[in-house]
Amino acid sequence: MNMEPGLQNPTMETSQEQPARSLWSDALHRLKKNRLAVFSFFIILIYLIVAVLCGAGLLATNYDEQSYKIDEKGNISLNSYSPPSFKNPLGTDIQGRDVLSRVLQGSWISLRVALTMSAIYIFIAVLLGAFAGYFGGFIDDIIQWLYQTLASIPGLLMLIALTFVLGKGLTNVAVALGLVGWVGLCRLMRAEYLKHKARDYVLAAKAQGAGPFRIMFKHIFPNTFHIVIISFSLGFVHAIMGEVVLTFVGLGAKAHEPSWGRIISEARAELAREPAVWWPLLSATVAMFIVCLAFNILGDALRDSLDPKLKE
Amino acid sequence: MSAYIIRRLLYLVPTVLGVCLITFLLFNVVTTGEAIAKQRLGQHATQEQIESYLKTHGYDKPLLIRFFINLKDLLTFNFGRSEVTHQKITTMLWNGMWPSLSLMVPAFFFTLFVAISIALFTALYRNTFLDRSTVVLCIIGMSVPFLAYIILGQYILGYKLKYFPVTGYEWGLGVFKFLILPGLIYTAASLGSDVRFYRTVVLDEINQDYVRTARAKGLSPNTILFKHILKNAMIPIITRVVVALPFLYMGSLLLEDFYGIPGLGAMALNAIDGNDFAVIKAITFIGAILYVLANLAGDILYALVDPRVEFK
Repeated sequence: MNMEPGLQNPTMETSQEQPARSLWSDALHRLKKNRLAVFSFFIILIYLIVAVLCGAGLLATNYDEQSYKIDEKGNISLNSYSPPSFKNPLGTDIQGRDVLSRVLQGSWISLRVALTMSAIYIFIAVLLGAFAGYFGGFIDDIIQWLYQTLASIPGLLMLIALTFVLGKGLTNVAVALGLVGWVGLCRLMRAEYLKHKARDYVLAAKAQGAGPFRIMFKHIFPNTFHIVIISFSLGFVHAIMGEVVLTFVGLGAKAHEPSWGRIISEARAELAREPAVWWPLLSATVAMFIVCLAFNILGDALRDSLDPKLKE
Repeated sequence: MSAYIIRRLLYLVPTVLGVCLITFLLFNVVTTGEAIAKQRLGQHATQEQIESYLKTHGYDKPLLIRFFINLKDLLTFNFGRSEVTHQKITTMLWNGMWPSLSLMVPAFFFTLFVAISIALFTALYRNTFLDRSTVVLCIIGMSVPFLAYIILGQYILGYKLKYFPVTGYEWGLGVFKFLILPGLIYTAASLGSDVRFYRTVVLDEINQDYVRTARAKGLSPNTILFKHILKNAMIPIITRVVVALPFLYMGSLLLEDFYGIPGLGAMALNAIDGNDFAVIKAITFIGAILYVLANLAGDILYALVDPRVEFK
């Protein structure tokens, strides 16, 4: 215990009746006081529920159904670009498909991209960061060389080149985002492992005969987990924005897939029409904006309450 | 000082080799010569056509030999010819660089100036309503996708209100009128994260002892802010600027595409559309080399700006 008398926090003594809290319950306590963060959390919860319901085929199932209209002469034609109405609250797109359903389905696509990306980059970052920090020496040199090299290739170019060679499509966009995005978290994890490996609890575990893998992932990892959580929350925004850019560039979602990137990419031609078709662009942008804003606010709040030192 | 620069130059060797290795792996292992040949020649290519493609592009040699040929080509900037336009890639890069720079350099430094001004201003009024609303505006700005800025900016300011030409480019001074709108959009889209970053930098300095001393001496807030704090905040500012510089050469993929600016960003997009592997490889490599050189320049600049940096 490093309880040097001079370093004790005076406020701790005055609030004796407050029970001691662990890192997580303390963070939760502080988060609850941040009403904006709580609100953001509920927005994200709604986003997740909508996304999963869409993915399970329970919500917005008509996203691929074309609708038709009959004009005065009795001709049947596609109900293209009908403005927002009672039947289609956010209007229809070029093929008469309901924009609301497509935007809702977009949340499922973005969630899939974000989860795939996160699984890949968190796995690489934690594994390499742990190895570099814990073992040091030659392994550390190699891993540092690897991430410095990767960091020196401009991110967007690397993403494009990687998706390009992996093949176009949403899955590869997510994989590329994951393979490129691990450097930042890996640096943080390496620093944490460097710090923790000299702590008493690690030495105690070692003395009891625990192997390096057990120490790295059973003992140290839980103490660094809050960094993963913060990175995961802020990473969502990257995944959502990354999908939009890569889809626009022509590497992501295919023409029939209702991703937000797809809807926004098509808006360029739609705005040029007379009268302008603004509802698909606005709907997808607002949906993205709300989700990204919520993740930004929650991510910031998590960082402030879990690890104030991480502030840029 | 010269010993320091030489040592820093030596550090470049492993990074540059690493960049060569990654670009090589991307185009030779992640995707293979056969896959590239099939994409270039179409689905109905005969076996002979594929084999002759592999032979002319050197894919018939063993992997290790290919790596060294590739290394030599990259390090001598011998990128060959584009597979679509059949121009020399170095010429294409040279020609595309100037439109990109003409857009990005003014836009970047204008943004830098505005962002630092706002950051200093909010630091003066920290913890007031003004400061807090700036922070909120920053997070809101960061949550809007870049594409939405571009599409809406072009549509409203260019197409509807006709304040600026919608798209176009010309060589010479007349280009100015075409660059204002994309430049302003770049500024609008970057301000959120930039202001937030510089605000943190300034606030970190404002709590230092030397600021308290200066205040105790009776210096005016403006003198402290501009003469003392700004000077000390230079290190993080230089870091951020230097790291961003290589991206200026790249131009902006999306801005150049939307505003018809014939720069490297537009070139990269065309290369993606046309499966032009050689061009993608060249742009990726040059981008990485510029980034590495910019970092070197940054390290030398620190040493010049900050006498505390040691040459050891």
